[in-house]
Amino acid sequence: MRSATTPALLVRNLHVTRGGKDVLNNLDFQLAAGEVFALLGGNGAGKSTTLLTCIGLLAPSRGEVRVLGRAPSEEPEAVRASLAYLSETATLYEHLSARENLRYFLDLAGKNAGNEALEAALDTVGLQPAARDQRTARFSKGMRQKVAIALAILRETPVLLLDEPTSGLDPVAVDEFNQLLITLRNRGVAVLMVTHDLYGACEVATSIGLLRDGRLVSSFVADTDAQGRHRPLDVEMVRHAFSARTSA
Amino acid sequence: MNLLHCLGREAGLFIRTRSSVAALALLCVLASIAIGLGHAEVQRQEASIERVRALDVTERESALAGAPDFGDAAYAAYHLTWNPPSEMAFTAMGQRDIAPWMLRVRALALEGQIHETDSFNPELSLTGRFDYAFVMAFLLPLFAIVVMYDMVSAEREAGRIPLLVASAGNVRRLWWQRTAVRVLGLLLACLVPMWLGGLIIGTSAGALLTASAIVLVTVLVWTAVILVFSFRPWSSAVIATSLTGVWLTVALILPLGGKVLIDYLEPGIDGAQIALLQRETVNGAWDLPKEATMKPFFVTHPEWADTRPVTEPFHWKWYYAFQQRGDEVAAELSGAYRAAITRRDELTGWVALLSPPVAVQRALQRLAGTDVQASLAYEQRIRIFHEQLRRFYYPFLFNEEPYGLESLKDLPRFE
Repeated sequence: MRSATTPALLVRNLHVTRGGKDVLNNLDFQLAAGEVFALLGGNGAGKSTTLLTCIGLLAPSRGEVRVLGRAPSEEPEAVRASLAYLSETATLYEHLSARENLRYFLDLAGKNAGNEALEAALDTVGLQPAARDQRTARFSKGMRQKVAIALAILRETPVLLLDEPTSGLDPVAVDEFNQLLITLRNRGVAVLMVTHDLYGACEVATSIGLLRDGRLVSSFVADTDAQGRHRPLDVEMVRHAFSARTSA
Repeated sequence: MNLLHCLGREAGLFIRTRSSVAALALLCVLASIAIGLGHAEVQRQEASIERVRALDVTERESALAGAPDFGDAAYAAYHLTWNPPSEMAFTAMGQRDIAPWMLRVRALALEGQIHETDSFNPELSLTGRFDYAFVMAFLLPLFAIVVMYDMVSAEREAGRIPLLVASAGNVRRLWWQRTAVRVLGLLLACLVPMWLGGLIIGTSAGALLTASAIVLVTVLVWTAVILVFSFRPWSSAVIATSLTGVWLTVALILPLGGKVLIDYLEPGIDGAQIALLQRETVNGAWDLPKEATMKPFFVTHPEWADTRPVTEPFHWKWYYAFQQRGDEVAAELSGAYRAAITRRDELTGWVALLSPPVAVQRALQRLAGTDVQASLAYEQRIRIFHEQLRRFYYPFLFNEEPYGLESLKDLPRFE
């Protein structure tokens, strides 16, 4: 049962073992509606494993994950209905157009979005109208990412999981994406984002965690101004702290 | 969300995949060609039977009209026997390619007449016929593999599984829906040509439904096999290779191995040996004292034992008696021949338990009435008819009745 104080995403004492190796070790964090938690770390730190565990594709060996109070292992369908997932490679169906991809995945999620909503989402992500009926096989990575983000927007889920969302995007596309994420954050969407992009994370995240060898070794929380709006985190401070941690 | 809607969504995605649609289209074309060829062959056989039946009547009437006595009439008059193609023969030609479906017989020794064509080499039996049963038994599995082998692995290799899981909620249900769409596609590609072909020639719905059930089971069995491999965490290439190996094993290696084993366990009897034995018995009788023929003949036909003894150098009743003896001497070998064929058929049935393609082909041939048993049954109908011919002529021959066409009004007719 979800109450007003139920976190959008709760990860508590999470342990995940894959191939006899502890990939996540006693991971703890939670985020509420309107918060963006950026999880940073090197390759193999356990970032993507965290996301896959939240979806329910991997089972915790210990500890728990709860999305809006529900455990993916117990109520996978309910959990997945409340979250959208965006992968690093935005793996759309290449033989379908942008619009067809959106319609397919929305229908798969049981979401009935009208044409206007669909066009509005594509406008929001800035995909050119001329490209919307083209097969996504011809799309650049940035264009595919825009379609995937439009899908996440259209699903209107309270939780958004992002796996390296700006990887491979040009600086303009990264900036557009970050602005979009801030918009979603302000709409009350809880976002868990794993990324290598420290600058982008500091700009959009309300909190940042550093993951190393499956452990959360450091975390930062952004200040809020008088109106309760989050201030961007200080990149230098975070980088310095992370450098100290990773060299420790 | 209702099932039909979900299937419609997955069908929409599936038909946008060109390679899969091309595979199903090719399967449909091959099934259509097979049905077309089967239809043409059935029409050819029916037309041949009709044409020869008409000629058979006029030729026999001519032979009987010109005959001076019953012995000559029985010698000269041929009687057509035929095994018309069933309503489903267009789907599986089976034994009709190698066993006779039309045979003209006389009241002479029968075994030689039945087996004289066994010495010919039926060329079609070497390559096999491209019929619907062949497409369903041997090609359909390959197309099922093509449209299903990478259903899961392609998504995994594209990195789309998390997105599908997050979107669908229950990804297992999604795989079932996708499987159902592919199964429906395969069934449509296979069944539409058969139903159209059946409707054109007026096949009964029951027969078409039975054949459809065989195709359905075939598709489901192969789907189960493919899914066992598809859900393994292997690459698409490994899954495709493994499934092709399974197909090669059950469609090629097991049937060939089974044939070698059957040849070893039950080598069978050459039909030409039966014809030879019967002919040698008949031909040898010319050089024997007539008593050597008539005595054993009267043992099996005591009703004619009290008729006038043959004293002339030639008499038709002696002639037909040694024809009869020829069949009686060859009867044991002929029975062994049929028993061997039946035994080989039974052994093939055991091979079919391990080889779905063989099982499918046998099931469709059984339904089409073109299997080994149907072929033997036609042979048996010929024997029964031939026995009726003998029973008709013997009273006239042994009682030495005067010849008259009106006496032939009850001449047996093959139906």
